[in-house]
Amino acid sequence: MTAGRNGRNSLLAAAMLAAGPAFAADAPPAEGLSEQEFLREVPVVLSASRLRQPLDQAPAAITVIDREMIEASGAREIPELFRMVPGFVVGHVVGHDGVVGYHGLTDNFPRRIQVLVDGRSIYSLANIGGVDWSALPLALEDIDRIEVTRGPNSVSYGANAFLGVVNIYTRYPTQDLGLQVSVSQGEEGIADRFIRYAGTRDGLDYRISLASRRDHGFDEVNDSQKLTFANARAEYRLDPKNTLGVEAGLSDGNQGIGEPDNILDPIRDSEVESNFVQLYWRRVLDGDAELFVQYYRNFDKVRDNFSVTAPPPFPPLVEPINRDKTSTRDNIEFQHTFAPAESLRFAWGSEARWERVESPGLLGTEATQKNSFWRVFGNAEWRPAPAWLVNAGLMYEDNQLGGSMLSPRLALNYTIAPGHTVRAGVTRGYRTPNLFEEKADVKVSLNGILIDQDILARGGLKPESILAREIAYLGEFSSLRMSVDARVFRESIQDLIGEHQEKLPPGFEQVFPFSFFNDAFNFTNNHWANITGAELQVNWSPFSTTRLVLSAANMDLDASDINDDFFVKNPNRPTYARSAPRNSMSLLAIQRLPGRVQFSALYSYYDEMDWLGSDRVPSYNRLDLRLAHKFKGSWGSGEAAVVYQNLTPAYTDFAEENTFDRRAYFTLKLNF
Amino acid sequence: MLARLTAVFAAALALALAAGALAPAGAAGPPRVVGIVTGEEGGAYAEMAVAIESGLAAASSGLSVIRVPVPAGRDGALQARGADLIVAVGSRAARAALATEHGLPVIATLIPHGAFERLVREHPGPAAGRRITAVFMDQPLRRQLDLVRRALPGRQRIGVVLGPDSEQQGPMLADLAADYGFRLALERIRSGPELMPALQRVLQESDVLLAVPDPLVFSSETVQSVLLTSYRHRTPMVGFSPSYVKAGALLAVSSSPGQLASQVTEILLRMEKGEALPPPQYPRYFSVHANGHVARSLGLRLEPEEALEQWLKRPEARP
Repeated sequence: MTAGRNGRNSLLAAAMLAAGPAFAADAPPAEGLSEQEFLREVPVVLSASRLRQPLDQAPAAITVIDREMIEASGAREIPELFRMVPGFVVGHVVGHDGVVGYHGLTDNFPRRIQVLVDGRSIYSLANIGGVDWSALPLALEDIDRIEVTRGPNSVSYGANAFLGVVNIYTRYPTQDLGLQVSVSQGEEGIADRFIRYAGTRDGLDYRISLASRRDHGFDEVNDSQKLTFANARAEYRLDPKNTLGVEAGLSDGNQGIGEPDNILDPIRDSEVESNFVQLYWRRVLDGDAELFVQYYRNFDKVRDNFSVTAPPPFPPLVEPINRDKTSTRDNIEFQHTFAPAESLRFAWGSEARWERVESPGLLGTEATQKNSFWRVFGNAEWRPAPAWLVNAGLMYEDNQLGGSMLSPRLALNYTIAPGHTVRAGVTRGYRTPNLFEEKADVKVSLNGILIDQDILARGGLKPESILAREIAYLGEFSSLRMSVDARVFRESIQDLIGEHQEKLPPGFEQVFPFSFFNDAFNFTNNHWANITGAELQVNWSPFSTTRLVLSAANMDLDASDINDDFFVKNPNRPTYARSAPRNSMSLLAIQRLPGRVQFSALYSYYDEMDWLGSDRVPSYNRLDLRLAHKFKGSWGSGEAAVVYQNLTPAYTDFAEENTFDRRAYFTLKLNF
Repeated sequence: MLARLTAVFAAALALALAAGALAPAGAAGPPRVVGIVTGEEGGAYAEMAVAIESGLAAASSGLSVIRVPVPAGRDGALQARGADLIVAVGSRAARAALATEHGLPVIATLIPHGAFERLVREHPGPAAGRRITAVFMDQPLRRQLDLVRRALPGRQRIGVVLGPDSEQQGPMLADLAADYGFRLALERIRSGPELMPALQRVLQESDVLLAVPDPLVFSSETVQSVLLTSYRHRTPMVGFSPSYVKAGALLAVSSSPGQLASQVTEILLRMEKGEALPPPQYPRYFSVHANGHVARSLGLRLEPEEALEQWLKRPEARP
């Protein structure tokens, strides 16, 4: 845990393994057990900068989804896990396109939550911003835990850590030594495969996973998916102080998209591709300090080429449409963590990023669009008195999109009594406009003639800014085996970017009937939103065989209206103000039964809400059940599990045509 | 004539003194000259030697101390001339003291129990009449389990990985764990590559990892993997030296060279008064070390080190 950076990279490089002969020379020749075992100085492994900050000392609200919760939830894909986080909503634009929102303002491309996997940002500029979970080369089996910061954290992660931050930490190789094979098969065409080998030798810890995921998606929607992917992680300890790490992954798949009777969006398959490589070096310095240097490159590609034929009464012209998208990101960063005094910890560092995006269908040009930024930050954790903890930090960022931004944070944690902490915090964060909002040029033309200009971004956007204030209580009731995390918050968003119909400038003459209005969407900073609410999280083990995880949120979202589209006055059209459920909750119950059997249930409830750019969905319940049996043999161990998703009546997921029915699948997992 | 007589007298005296010094100690009364052999140069070895010497001086003991050099080579003979009791500091010194037929009583210290027993087995020597005892440097298992029970209430699944040099502790551990109502997850390994898989199995079934010293399991080369793996499982490790606590173990109970020296000094003072060589014993003086950062990170609230120490020192806990 780094002071103030909420675990950034804290364990991603965490382990070093048995390797170097460096220390062997210090000891006399080994001859069995001797006093040397007791006298030997060993290197500091769990330095203060590497340890995870306990939740009651963090400067922000954090929800941890641990391995047990991941397994018990019965989830097949990462987005589903966020049902267990207070205030989060999860939807599916189509079956393979999960979206995760927090505190509303969520559409097909949620772009106000930053997501990092082992410290590598997968928040992309290639789409309309946000995260494409569907092509991410990462299996649930390889995730160790997910830490979700509820609230802005631009001070640690820069712009776009706006409403929240998701940190995914993958399993370290030595946690899963050996061979694991897993097969899932079920309704709706569910067919997932996973095989992993993890090993350790001569100071090198490594694992490699191969996986595939298939399903048919929703019944009435062309949204089947086939994804094949690989993921690898290795760490090598050069000597007791230096560790090198590498992670890499790639995926390749097909996804059904399009609608049956939409000539501009016909039924078809798009091809997705994603890969990354990440290299890091960690050096332990004297005096509980650490230096971390990292480089990574992400590459994402969607191939979606099709043609449309003009319907009558137009002449039957065939127009090729190119919706291909590629994006490449290069990122370098370093961080230095040190403790100048027992009561003071400090982390500072810098990061720079270069991105290149090609998206002729959305940006109206074959040319590569570029963006870059650099950042510098410092975070201090100071304990002036045993009961008081001050977290203060500052981030400065200079971004080609959005200019320069200064994000400060101040949080005070006061321990009333052992196990009872209150926190008050205030912070500012930013979201930069993305390339689409700044440069979108989406149109339909036929034979070089502009039919309809759908979107024409005029550019010059400012970043959105958020000011968040919170008061929280964290209680640890050890005798009851219960922990409670409750908070109230107020978030004020200024310069919120939204879309408007605007008259087109000269040179964009459309054909009738589009010429009648002669307008297209543009993005402006004309909006605002104020979000107030309360969130509760309770983790309780009433018995050693039982665990309950409750999350609940109540929110009041006050916002300017979403668009002034004057010829659509649909009273049910989605609005910012209704883009979050007023009340939502989830309860995960895990019960261990005799005979290595485990039963778990995940229930969630959401009030009615609007998904922006889509539909209003009524309130709904969802209940998932999982029953698992573990077994052991001389050959290894295994687990057989059956999962029922949504035992409650079918509900509307994101859009009216998406009906989430009951579905069941089973999984067989073997470890050798 | 006088000069001649004086010379003869002096020679006779010298001969008598030499004979006295060389006489089998068994025949002698209480010790007068303590020979301290240190197994290695400097560090804890020198610290112990100095502490014993100054401890005796502080007690105004009549015992004098001489330094006996450790013989070169694995089985070199100890030149213990002038001493009538040997204090062997460290395994190498203990081996030399056991391998040499000097007939003197030996107090071995700064040596783990297991290493001492192995030396005694390997050097049966003139078994009859040999007088040897030890102040071990490791803590009795009971004391460590006591610490776990007090410091981490509710954690009842104890994980242990034993290697070739510690496996003989397995049955004893199992008995003690049963006494304490602990569930023991125990794995034995015979080679380095078995360590991580064994540790993983143990961690899956335990909520505290008890480190039992064994060079195959705990060494400078393995400590990083072991500590990080247990930390990832959110399973705290109870180590056996302050160095491990500094490195990331949650707790350790251990005795410093100074504390061992105090116990040896007390034995010497009692022997000076005519008491017999006591039986081999565990440390009477010890300290508890805790890593506050690790405790906080794991969400554990520990009693202060001194309070844990006091509890371990309560009379009924004495071995």
